[in-house]
Amino acid sequence: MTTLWIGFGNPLRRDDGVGSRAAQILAAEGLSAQACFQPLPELAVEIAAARRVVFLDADLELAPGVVRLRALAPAPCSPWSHRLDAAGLLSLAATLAGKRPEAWLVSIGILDAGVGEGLSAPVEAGLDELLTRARRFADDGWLPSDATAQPS
Amino acid sequence: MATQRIEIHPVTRIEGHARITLQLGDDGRVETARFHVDQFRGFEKLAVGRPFHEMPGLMARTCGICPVSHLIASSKAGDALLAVSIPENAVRLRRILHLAQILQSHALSFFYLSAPDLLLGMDADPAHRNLIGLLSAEPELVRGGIALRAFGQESIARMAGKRVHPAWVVPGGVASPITAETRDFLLAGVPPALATVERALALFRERLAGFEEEVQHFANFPSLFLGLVDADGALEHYDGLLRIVAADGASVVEGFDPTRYEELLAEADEPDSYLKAPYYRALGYPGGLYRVGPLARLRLVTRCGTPRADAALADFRRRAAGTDGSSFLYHEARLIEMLFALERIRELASHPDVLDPDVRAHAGPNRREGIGVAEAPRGTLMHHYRIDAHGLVTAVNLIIATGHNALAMNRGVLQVARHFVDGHRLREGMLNRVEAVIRAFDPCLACSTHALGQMPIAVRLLDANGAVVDVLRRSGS
Repeated sequence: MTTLWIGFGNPLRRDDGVGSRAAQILAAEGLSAQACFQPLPELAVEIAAARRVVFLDADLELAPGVVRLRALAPAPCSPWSHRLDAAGLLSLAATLAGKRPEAWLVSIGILDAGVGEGLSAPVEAGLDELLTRARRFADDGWLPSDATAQPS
Repeated sequence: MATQRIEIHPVTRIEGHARITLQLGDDGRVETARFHVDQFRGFEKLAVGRPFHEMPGLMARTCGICPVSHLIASSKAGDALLAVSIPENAVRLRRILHLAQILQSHALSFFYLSAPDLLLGMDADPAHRNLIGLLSAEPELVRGGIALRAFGQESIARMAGKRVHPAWVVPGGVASPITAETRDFLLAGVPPALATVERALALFRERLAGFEEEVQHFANFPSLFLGLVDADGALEHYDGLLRIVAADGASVVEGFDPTRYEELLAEADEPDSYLKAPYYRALGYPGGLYRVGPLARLRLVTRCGTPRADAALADFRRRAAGTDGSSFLYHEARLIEMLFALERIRELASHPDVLDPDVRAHAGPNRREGIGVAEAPRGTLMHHYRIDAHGLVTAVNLIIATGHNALAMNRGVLQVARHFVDGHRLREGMLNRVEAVIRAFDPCLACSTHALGQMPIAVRLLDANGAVVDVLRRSGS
């Protein structure tokens, strides 16, 4: 496997589900993409098998609809499954398989994570930008120039 | 008169939200203990008015760990409402899906939630007594355990469309046949998964000698055991007849049609928990306490019906003679059932007709009442629906596997607390054992809390005047 896309979020909590929705769209286009409610330890197995992983997720710190791309490095993995995050999964993958794929996070600021379906207007508008950035990684040789360099 | 109260809230490394309270007497010894499930779901009410064909997809939402069991039991109730006999390959595919779910659920319980206690020790530093800590001590085992759960989940995803809350099982069968690629995936995954389970079983048996005290005091009491068995008395998770045996193995109920469950069981409400407490009618409440789930199933059956699981069962029965009423042995029973699930998946997926496209019977509602019963990972699961002439649901009764064990879990908590808890001075390991007896049952409380390690707990020991005698704190991570 070369590139793996993983989108997080609960589609029944409106904008929280934007990462899952993006992953579903990419999967429908034939890319190796998975939609998940939340980070799970089992994902570490697939992450370890990939050369590059692109995580797609909601971001509470960004303004609604604003998309950010950044490189990810492994970080200490929480023993709490509900506190696992993408960086923790990378760490778990490295410990499990001794492999550390190149990893990126494409995130989008959200407005409404209340109970319900559908995205808020600014997040719906920003979804195209999120997908555009995520799709670029389908070219194995492409490296983003508008993101933090991959940490060593 | 009880003068002190200890509360463990939340109980950790279980599926759902619960707390435990211990009441101490003047002498500092535990007088009473209660397991409270304080989350409320209400599925029996919110389903009323829905079309019956929506029920499997709706009921699957009851749980994120065992949604497939709810799909199966609900669809079987739907089959009964349609009054159809579903195609043979639909039964085969439902069985494979169900076994894949038992596999992933048991793997979660054993490797993620309980192995830290079993392999690092009940008194190990709670900062390391979790899956991540276990990774350092037993990397091969953890690697295999994670891969095992991933295999179960991916099998569900390939067959049913997604890992959690699929809606592929429907009244009348399943929505679509499987592809040759999916069949090949299932068959290829079995050998490495079997190796992982056998390694874990050997390790568990090797370490069991260090848990003699826990085996003796973890809900180790005589009780009835209830579950489904097949026509020959062998292990059965999808269909079958109800059997009840006594603590000594004597038959109490044989060959009982599970759709007549109300004649056999009654339900009690307890004032301090949302978990209903079913009991065996003939012995009344609470004397009709019984246990369900992996340990109960292995107590009920004549055999598993697959070679490796049967060999493991024979060894289990030889070694456990005299202590096989101990709920600590649920862990070993789970491992044996994983062997069975893998062997049976291989057998079913190898069947020449497994790709047969005839997988669904179509009909409208032909009966007003339908009952579906299956063995979920945690025990017998019962879905009972009534509908009106338009196929709209008018009444629902659910008996979830964990509910059957409610009375036994309460009794188990009391037994463990009385043996291990010293009310004068609390130690973390004492409280962990009180939680661990609950983990042995692997209760699924309609899950939302899946801590791999510790959750923050502050336990305060108060005297009769409310003065703090002792405080024990754990931080969250």
